[in-house]
Formats: sequence, structure tokens, C-alpha cells
Amino acid sequence: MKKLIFLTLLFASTAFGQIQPEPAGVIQTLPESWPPHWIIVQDGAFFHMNSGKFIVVDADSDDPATRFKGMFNGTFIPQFFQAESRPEMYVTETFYSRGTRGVRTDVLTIWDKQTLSPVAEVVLPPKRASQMPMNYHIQLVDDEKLALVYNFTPATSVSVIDIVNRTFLGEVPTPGCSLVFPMAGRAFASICTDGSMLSVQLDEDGQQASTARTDVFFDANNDPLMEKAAMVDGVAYFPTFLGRMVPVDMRGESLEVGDTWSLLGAGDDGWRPGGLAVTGTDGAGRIYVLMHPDGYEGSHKDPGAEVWVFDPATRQRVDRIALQLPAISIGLTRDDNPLLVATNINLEVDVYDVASGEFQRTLSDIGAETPFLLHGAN
Amino acid sequence: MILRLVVLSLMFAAVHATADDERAHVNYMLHCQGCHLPQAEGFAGRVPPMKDFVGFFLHSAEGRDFLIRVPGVAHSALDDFEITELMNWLLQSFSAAQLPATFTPFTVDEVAGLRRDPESAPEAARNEILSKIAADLPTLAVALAHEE
Repeated sequence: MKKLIFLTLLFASTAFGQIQPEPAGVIQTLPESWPPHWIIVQDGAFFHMNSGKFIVVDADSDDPATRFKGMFNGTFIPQFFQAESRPEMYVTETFYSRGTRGVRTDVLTIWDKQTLSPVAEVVLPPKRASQMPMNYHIQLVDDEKLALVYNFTPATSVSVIDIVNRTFLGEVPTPGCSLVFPMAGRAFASICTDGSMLSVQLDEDGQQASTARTDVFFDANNDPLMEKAAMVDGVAYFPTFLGRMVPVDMRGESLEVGDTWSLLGAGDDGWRPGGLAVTGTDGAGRIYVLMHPDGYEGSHKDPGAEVWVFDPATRQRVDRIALQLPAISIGLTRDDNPLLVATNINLEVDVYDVASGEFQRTLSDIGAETPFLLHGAN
Repeated sequence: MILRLVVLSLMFAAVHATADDERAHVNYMLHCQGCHLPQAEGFAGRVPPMKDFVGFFLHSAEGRDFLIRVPGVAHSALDDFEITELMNWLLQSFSAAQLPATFTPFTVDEVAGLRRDPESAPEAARNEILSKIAADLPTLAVALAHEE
């Protein structure tokens, strides 16, 4: 017994001697402008959807203890968009009064990039599309003064929000057409089930001023467009299931459908685009497409084994990056020396250096279970 | 060669031109019931109920046209014949009691024309069409009051 007490005293004195008191309650903030290789991992929390989250990670770091930069929430399959002109991020969320049941409330939550705290919210009609995380659910137009949110009840419409004054302005019906693609000025486009696109011009109050429809330009039954467009300088590039690329110029008052080109070259038979987040773009305006071999009817969500890089000006493939594990989603950092990040089939986030095409690391221990989308930080 | 093609086309047309309730039901299951639900009961406040209701639309010409011009029908992946077959089946299966005595089934030519002119403001159009019909049709007025 005496020996036990002695040992305890010895241990206690040693422990106190080695551990420095750590200051508690320290709240740090992130820089207003984030380093270019930080990414935002969108965890849709597929197995418990009321607790989604966004995790800010330094994709350059090999140190799990320091690469995690922070986290913020998004409830019931949130959708996400980053502003370019303000240090703000926008998340659409759904809340029920009893957690998983009860009265539904939808909000657009405005998150501050430095504190990762919600600074404001706008209550929306409880109609936002409850769908898997995907880009083009939220967009900003009119020099980032208006936010647009895609609704699906299944009647489709778009909620218009004055994001500067944080007020809901109204709802524009988009019958038979889905998602929001940003057009020049106060306008947006939406992709329609009959194989056309709708464009909507808004007035100063955010209400519908006029609408127009393109001619039918794709075959929704035989070679549908993937709604997962890559936007480069105001042109949306839509891959099709069979590997064509369809550009739609959104810079004018009306939509201009451009000439279709093929993603496939000689010897590429059987390769098709596929996955969840299939496309990405970098700061130089190149387009990245997640591709899989031996495609078949129904393989449009299959994981990709390679990422093909295209120059939309020349319509040529300029690079081909083989993935160390097939991936379901890709993202790019926005700088001149970009990283390709990819959610692999084990739902881990892999990092590749675009210049060399080399795999660099897996971002383990970041607390993400189902990292469906990866965003390069603005 | 051409003769054989013509014969084949005629055969195909003949096979396809006969309405088939089972095919209509399968197409309803594949293309409609995900939202409208198996008995066309809809989802209060979100998906309009068609059961014991959709037949009311046939009490006006605009209402008849609306059922084909509404985007879910007009933009459907089904072809003109399949839509015609499905709509006639649907009206008789889910809402026969609400049809006017003068009801005649949709024709393929009629559907083909209407679906190429989809309704651009379906909710407003629906409300206007129904309130006009309800002015002369007390049973619809009661159903609408119940809906609110």
C-alpha cells in the first residue's frame, strides 16, 4: 500500500513537470483570403442527413493535426456556393421543428469565411430541392447582388434573394426545367426535360421580366446532357452521357448553343464521363472531366479511373491524369499551380498535383464520412 | 424492299395503335407515380391530387388542353401515342365520375399538337381554369373549397 502511494506521487510529479499548461478557450479566426490550396469538403452526411457539414482543409499538408482548419454545419443535404466579391459562403438548409419531423423551414444561411460562423439567414419558401449535393443549386448573378436557389416540389421554380440586403424577393416558375446556371446581368438559365434550355431575365425587383427558350438541342432519351456543367468565362460546357461536349454561351441576353465536339479521340472508344461531380475547371480555364472505360447504358454514375483535361479553345485533350483509386467526384483549386482533389471509392479525399499528374496524399482524419463535393476555396 | 418496309411500318403502327391498359398502367408507374403516387392521390400542397379530381378539367376546352400542355405531360419521355393511351386510361381509372357526359377520349393528333406548346405558367393557368369551371360546376367548387 505504501509502495502504491509512493508510485502515485512519483507519477504525478513527473507529469506536472513535463506538460505545460495549455491556454483554454482560445478562438482563432481564419484569414480573409485563404491560401490557394485550401479546399472545402462538402460532407452530405448520407447516413444521417440532418447533420451535414463543410470541412476546411489545407490540401498541401501531410500533417493531420494541422491540416484541419475548421468546420461549419449544413442541415438536411445542404447545397453550397462561395461568393467571389465578399468573404461569404452560402448554404441552403432545411430544418424541421422536431429535428427529423414537424414543420419544415428552409433557409439560406450566410457563413463568414474568417469565423466560420453564420452571420445572417434568409427564410425561403420550404421548397428547395432536397437532392444529392450538386453544383448549380445556388448561384449569384447581377454582380453578386442576387442569389438564386433551385426549388423542386416536384414543380420546379427558382427563389430570388437580395443577398446584399438579406431579403427574399420572390419566386420564378421554371416549369419542366431544372437547376440555375448564371447568365450575364440579371438573368439565369435552366435545363429542360424536352432537350432545350430556358432563360429568364429578371427586373430590378428580382421578378420575372421575360423568358425565352432555345430550340431543342439535345436528345434526353438517347444521349442526355449531364447537368454537371463546367463554366469557363461565361460558357457552360455540358458533357453528354456518350462523351460529347455541348457548349452553351451564357454571356449574352439570350443563350447561344455552340458546336458540339467529342471528348474522345482515336483509340478512346468506350470511355465515357461519369460520377457525381464529373467536371471541374482551373484558373487557366481548362476543363477536367472524370472518365471511365468500358462505358455502357447506365454507367453515367460509375466512378472514373482517369481525369481528362481539355482546352475548350482548341477542343483538344491536353492532359490525362490516372487516379490511384477510382473517384466519384473531383474538384480543383483555383490558383495557377492547381491541385486536383478527388473523392475516391472508399470515400476518402485524394490529392494530385496537376502539373506532374502525381498522386500526393490522402487527406485522412478530417472527419468527413461522405465527402460528396470538393470545392477549391475562392 | 420499299414494299416490305411499308408493310412492316403498317404492322408496327397497327400493333401500336391499339390502346392497351396494361401498357398504360406500366407507363404510369414508370413516368408518373413517383410524384403522383400509385392511386394518383398526390401530395397535399405539393403534388395536385388526380384521384376523383382530374376529370373536372374536361369540363372546359382550356382544361382539356391543359392536361396535355402541363410540363410533366408535354415534356415526358413518352411518345405521342403512349401519352394519349396513358391519359385516356388515367381519366377512366382514377376520375371517371368527374368526367362530363360528353367526354371523348384524347386523340393522338390532338396530343401531338398540344404537347408542342407547353404551358409556361402552369400553377396560374390551373387556378384560372379550375375557378372558371367551378363557377358552373358546384361539385368542383366543393372539391376546391375542401382543398383549401
